[in-house]
Amino acid sequence: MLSPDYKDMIGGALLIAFGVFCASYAATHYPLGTLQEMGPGLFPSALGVVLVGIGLLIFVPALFRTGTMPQPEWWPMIAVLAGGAFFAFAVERLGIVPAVVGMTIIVRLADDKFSPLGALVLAAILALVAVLVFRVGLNMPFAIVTWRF
Amino acid sequence: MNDLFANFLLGLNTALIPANIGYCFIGVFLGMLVGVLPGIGALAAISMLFPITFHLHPASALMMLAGIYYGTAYGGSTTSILLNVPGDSSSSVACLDGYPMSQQGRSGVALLLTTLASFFAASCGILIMMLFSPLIVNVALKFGDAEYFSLMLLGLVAASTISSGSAIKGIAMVVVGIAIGTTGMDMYTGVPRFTFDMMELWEGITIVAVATGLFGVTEVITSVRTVKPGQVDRKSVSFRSMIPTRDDLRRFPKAAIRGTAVGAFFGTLPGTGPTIASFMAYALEKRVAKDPSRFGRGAVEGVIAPEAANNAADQTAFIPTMTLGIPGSATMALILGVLIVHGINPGPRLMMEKPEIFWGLVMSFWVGNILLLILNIPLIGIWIRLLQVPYTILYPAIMMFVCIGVYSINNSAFDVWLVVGFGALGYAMRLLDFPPAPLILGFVLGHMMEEHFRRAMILSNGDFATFVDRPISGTILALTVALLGWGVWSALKARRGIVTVATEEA
Repeated sequence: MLSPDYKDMIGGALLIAFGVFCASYAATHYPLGTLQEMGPGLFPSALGVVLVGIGLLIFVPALFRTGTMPQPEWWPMIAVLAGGAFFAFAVERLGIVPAVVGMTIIVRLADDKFSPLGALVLAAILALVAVLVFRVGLNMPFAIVTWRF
Repeated sequence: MNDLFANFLLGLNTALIPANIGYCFIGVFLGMLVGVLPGIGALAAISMLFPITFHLHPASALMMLAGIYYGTAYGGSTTSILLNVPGDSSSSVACLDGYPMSQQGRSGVALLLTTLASFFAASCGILIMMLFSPLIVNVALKFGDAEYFSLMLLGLVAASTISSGSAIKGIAMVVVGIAIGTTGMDMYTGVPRFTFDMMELWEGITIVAVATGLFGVTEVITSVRTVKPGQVDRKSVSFRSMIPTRDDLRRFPKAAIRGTAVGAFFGTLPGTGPTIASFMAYALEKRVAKDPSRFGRGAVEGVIAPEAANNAADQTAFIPTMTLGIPGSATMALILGVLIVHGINPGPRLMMEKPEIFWGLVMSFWVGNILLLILNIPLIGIWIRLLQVPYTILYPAIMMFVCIGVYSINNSAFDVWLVVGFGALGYAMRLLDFPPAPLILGFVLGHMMEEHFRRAMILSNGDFATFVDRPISGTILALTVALLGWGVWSALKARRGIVTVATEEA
């Protein structure tokens, strides 16, 4: 027995979940109004219902079909996202230079060819470019190095 | 006619401001660069630079991003011809006959003729835009809310069914995009929707975060381990080798004209664009050729026509976007996004209210294409050298520009978190085979669609029939339903995911 198409099952299930969330949240939190005077909740609820329908259209055929499961590249994904997250965390608390340096090092971890020295050098260069282009060149108001927690 | 002339002058006035020439130059230069580099397409580049353009005057921002867009069509063919690797999906077809020409030592000719064909096609596209836009706008101004809603619906359905792998998934993404777009204060009642008690969400999710995360960050995640530099055979590109033979010159005009016509047509349709246009143009050339067996072995028409087509399509794609406010592709949605972010409403009114932006942009197309014509060939040496730069250095730089750029828009770290979130979403979508382009189309158009829908309902007193009763709206809706039906039918026919020949990314 070949396994069903899990990929599309997951996709369909996620859509259904999101649709249910949209519709229920909008319907319970915001007034629906009438068709003549549509309230803020009507459009999102309708969208949610449509999404559930489409999700089912994807989920159900997947039960009867075989498919390949995608292989996520965990390391690149984690590294890139963590790098961005670090930047978001650090840019206002630590300033732009630490943010860029930290982000570069974390992001470089995504690559199999990681060398700590190379990453540091690249981080330093990028931080310098960042300060020159954005702070000096474009005059944007953010702190270069700071300590705000 | 007088009006037209006045508009041209106004446009030139705006486009020829030295600063704007500068932005246009940056745009086309980056466009060529991005076109040459495999792994980064126009869409990713525009999303990454989008945050920075926020600080510019909208006209300048548009000129720059547009320059990137049509610049990639010039640059992409370079690697197709020299390396058999398309730098841009719209240049994939150029590999088929371009690379054999390189192998025969005729790369110079191929490069020269594609540049000329590209310029010719782009010029035709710009002329079409200049002549037809006022006519289209005049008709569109008579549209009411019902017509706008139906038109946008048609655009969305077309864009998601025609080129994405699975029509159902495309439509799903459109709806998700619209849903995400409802975040923020409701336009009529001021009620904040889906803000979860976070002040930052009161104005809604900024399109910058969605675009940069969904396309830029996702692109980086998937490319980190897969992009490799290429080897080029340096000796075959010399100026002398560029002289075309009489035979080549004989074949040039018809192939260029046919390619341009195909491109101009497919460019204006939503859902189709330069990539499909280039494939169609190649197929057409092969069909009308006296000796089809030459194709695939260095037939010069096989390079001229597709490259003309993708350039023409690039230019005419701006027509529905700028005259009607209906983007035909994700990239066009981003271009609209520039206007929206600056508080300008896209649509037919744009030409009336801000003619300097509209005509300035059109005239900048001339500036850009002339710059590209002059620069394309001399810069080839630089591009080749650049291809040797390992991606390992490139992608942290990309992330840096993305993070700082997004942060700088509102001085908001929250926006950067959004980018990270959408990057994760984008990667998940790629794994699950959901196309991202329709999502951003839905996101951009969602607000406007809802506004038109609600207003139409108010005007008709809650009567749904208004969308069908009004003749224009009714016809458009009928077309939409037909497209939907075709999409579902071909999806059922295909059963187990047929491979899409050309995924329209740009």
